[in-house]
Amino acid sequence: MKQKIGRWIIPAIAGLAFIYLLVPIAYIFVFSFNDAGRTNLEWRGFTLDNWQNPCGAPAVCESLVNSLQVGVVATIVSTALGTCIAIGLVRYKFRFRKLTDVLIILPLATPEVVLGASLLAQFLNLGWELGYTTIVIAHSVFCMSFVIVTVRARVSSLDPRLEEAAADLYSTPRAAFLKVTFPLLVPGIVAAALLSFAMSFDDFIITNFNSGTFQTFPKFIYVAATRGIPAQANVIGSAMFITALLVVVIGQVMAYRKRKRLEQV
Amino acid sequence: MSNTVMTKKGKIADLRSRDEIKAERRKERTGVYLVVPGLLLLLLFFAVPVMVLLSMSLYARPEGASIGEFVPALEFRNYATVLGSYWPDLLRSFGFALIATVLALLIGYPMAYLVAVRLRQHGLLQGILLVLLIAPFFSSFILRTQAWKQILADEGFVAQTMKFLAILPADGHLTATPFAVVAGLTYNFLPFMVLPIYANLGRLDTRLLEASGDLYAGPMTSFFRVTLPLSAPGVFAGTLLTFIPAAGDYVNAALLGNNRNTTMIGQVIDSRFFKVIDYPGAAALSFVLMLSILVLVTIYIRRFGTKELM
Amino acid sequence: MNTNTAEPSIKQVDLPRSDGADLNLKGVTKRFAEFIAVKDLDLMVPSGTFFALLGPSGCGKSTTLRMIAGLEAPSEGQISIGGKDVTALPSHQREVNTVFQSYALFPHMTVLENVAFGLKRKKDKQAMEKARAGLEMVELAHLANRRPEQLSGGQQQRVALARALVNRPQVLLLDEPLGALDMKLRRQMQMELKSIQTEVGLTFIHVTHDQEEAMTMADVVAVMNEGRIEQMGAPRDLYELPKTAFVANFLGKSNLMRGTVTGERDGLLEVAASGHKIVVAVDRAVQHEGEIVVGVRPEKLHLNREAPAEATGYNELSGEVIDVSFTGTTTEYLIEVAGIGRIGTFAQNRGQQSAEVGETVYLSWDSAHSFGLAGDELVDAGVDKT
Repeated sequence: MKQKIGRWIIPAIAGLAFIYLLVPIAYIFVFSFNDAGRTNLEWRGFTLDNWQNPCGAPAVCESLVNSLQVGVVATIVSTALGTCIAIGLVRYKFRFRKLTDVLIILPLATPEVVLGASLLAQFLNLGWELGYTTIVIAHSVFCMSFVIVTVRARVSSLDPRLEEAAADLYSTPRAAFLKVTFPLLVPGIVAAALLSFAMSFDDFIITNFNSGTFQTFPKFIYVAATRGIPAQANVIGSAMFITALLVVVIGQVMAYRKRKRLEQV
Repeated sequence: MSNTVMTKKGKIADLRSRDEIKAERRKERTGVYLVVPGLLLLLLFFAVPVMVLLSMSLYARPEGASIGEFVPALEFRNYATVLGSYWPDLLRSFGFALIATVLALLIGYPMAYLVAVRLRQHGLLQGILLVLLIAPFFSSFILRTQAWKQILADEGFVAQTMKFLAILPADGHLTATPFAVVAGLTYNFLPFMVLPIYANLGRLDTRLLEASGDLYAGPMTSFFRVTLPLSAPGVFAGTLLTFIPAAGDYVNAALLGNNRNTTMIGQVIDSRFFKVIDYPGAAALSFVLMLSILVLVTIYIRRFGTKELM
Repeated sequence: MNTNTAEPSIKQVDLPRSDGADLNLKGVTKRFAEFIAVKDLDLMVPSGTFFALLGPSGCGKSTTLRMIAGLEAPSEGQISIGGKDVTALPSHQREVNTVFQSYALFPHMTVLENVAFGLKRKKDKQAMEKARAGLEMVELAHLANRRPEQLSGGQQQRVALARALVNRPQVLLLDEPLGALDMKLRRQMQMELKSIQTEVGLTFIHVTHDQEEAMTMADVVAVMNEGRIEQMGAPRDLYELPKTAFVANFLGKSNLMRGTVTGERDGLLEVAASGHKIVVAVDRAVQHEGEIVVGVRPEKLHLNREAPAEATGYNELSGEVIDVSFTGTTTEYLIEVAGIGRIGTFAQNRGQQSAEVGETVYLSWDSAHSFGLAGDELVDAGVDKT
């Protein structure tokens, strides 16, 4: 009897937890079909208008495009620089390694408010105008630490003998990197890039400190929350969720098929 | 340690051949090229800003200066002033963050365990649940927090049902309470707890559980004696990744809280920066927050830390 | 698909013979931060030789191999292949290929891509054809499109071998290539490696800690210990006439007895060992006076239950049996000889009655089977302590 309870208790808690995780998303999805008018607070009837015209509310789409732009650029910068650091830290010896380590870990242990505030202090000091550039810089910095940690795990788990084998088989260091090391790091780098993009796209606190009048999607919603968020924001939130879901599911299915195909050879 | 010895004349001789030294130099140079660009970014836009923040926290406001005008100084009283006024908010932030972390662990561990261990043989279901864990990241976190606000609103279904069942007094609220803020924090940072634990449990060798069962341990004993200790690095990373952002968060407090007993330190810093235009005060508070988290984290790492982290 | 049970054997293929090249190491030393891995090593491997570097782990054999491959730069000395100095040449420019200990197959490539990798880097226009021929040689052509992870250990080993061999290197290096295989597969692969080497005629340098493996496969064995070569020669010569206690113990087993030379007669040294008289041929001893260590292999001893008639040129000892263990084909005995210590021997099980524990027995052996080592040798050097 006790054993039976034990078997069910974990799925039960986990099931409730998944519901907890998904309730707001279901709510956002349902209310994206609300015939809301100006404020999307209570249910006023079903409509497809919001989905047909997602840019209908002022500033929704502009802020979305801004967020996407910032996200893409910050992801490219942080992934490129972070990957280089990760490889450098695992594979090469140089002075100031300890210092580098600390410098990478510290941003992870610093709350976003402090990251945002210190960058603001710096930009004020430099007299830079807050906007697109300052946000891209801010996002690149805080995403980079996550990239480094993710990619570094991948680099450390790589067998150094593979590179030696490549060198032994007439690969110049360059060819060994391009043909062996890099392809093996790709899954880690892709994961890091996705994480970066998600963090940048969803960031509010650091953005709020360093964006001036530049509007990102989370900032738009935060500001709109006091007046009432237009239903179009729900459309975009739902669409992002569904897109992410599809991308991951397609990826999984492709990986699954590839595995199957290989087994048949 | 190094490849050098003292010769009879007391000079230091390098024992390595020219080829060895050349190879080593080349290697070091490549390493430096790889690391320097990113390191520069970190130096210029993390290390230096923190220093700027520190110096700004000591700025003074001259007599009769206009709003937002400060001069460089060593005004340590700034710290006393802000701590004097805002120590309850600082404590509350850590309290809320701690409760949210514990709750996230209690909720998140079973989730991670289910997906990583129980569903190991069911690739498809495992994949779906993993997607559901990650996908919320992509539907704006503020949108989700706002959704909670509306779900828990006074006129909403949940509050009405609870009032009908007399779980909640007729004049009670769910939103604008510490409960709502902590629930929001737990909700928002739950994936940060689950994913590291999941990654760790994914590597758990289930034969160890069989061995433990073979040695007369019940499922409970096996869990507490084998699974949990082995997943400690994941739990450790998860708790840090939850606690640190939760302590500095202010979106949950702003959207789900009130003005009386839910103010978190992030809100104060934000408002001192943007509403009161008290840069030194805001900088001082930021610095206090950063230092206290570093101290707490260091103690935590010393006490429970594992080398496997990061 | 059965993968592990029946490993197909390697068949004759029309790969061109090449003679490989001489490999020459002169005064090669490798120092690491904490220790010296290889000390002033001189080595000459004639082309076409199957050469084994044998030694316990940490003896410097792998470091030597890595220096030949160019994966490690020597601290001192010179390495030349086919008469050409390659000491400063990076790995990818050396006509040397390695079969790595853990195979180091590229996990993101198919078996065929793995085998073609080196040829492609050399811009060989027939890379794919040659890779296919290489796979055919190791009988894995049917698995060309698989990933390494889908292969058994033995199959991975063959892929690694094919990947190195298709490049027709001047020297092929094998770093404990059979270490991860189980005993049966190991013996089978030993034979196949040997036949491939005979077939293609390359210079093989095989690093191993398995003395049986080294003796079965190699033309020349070098026993390495603590960064130096203790002794080098044909397997039989090394076994029959070890020059150091380390070689005597590491390569097979030996009974070593300490004694003092008392005289020389008819080309035999007379040695007094704790009251016993032992003789050893002068030309089988590395030292001819003072304290020396005399050794004899266990299988050279005759075990008698009654005292044998005295014969010249024979050594005789008597002692008490303290342990008997039955191993199937033979029975092993441990005999305590007063003043000398424990002597091991064994007898074929041909139905004769075996001696029992506590019984007094008589040991004898032809002095032509004794060997004499230097007196300052440690009697237990190179003994497998596990």
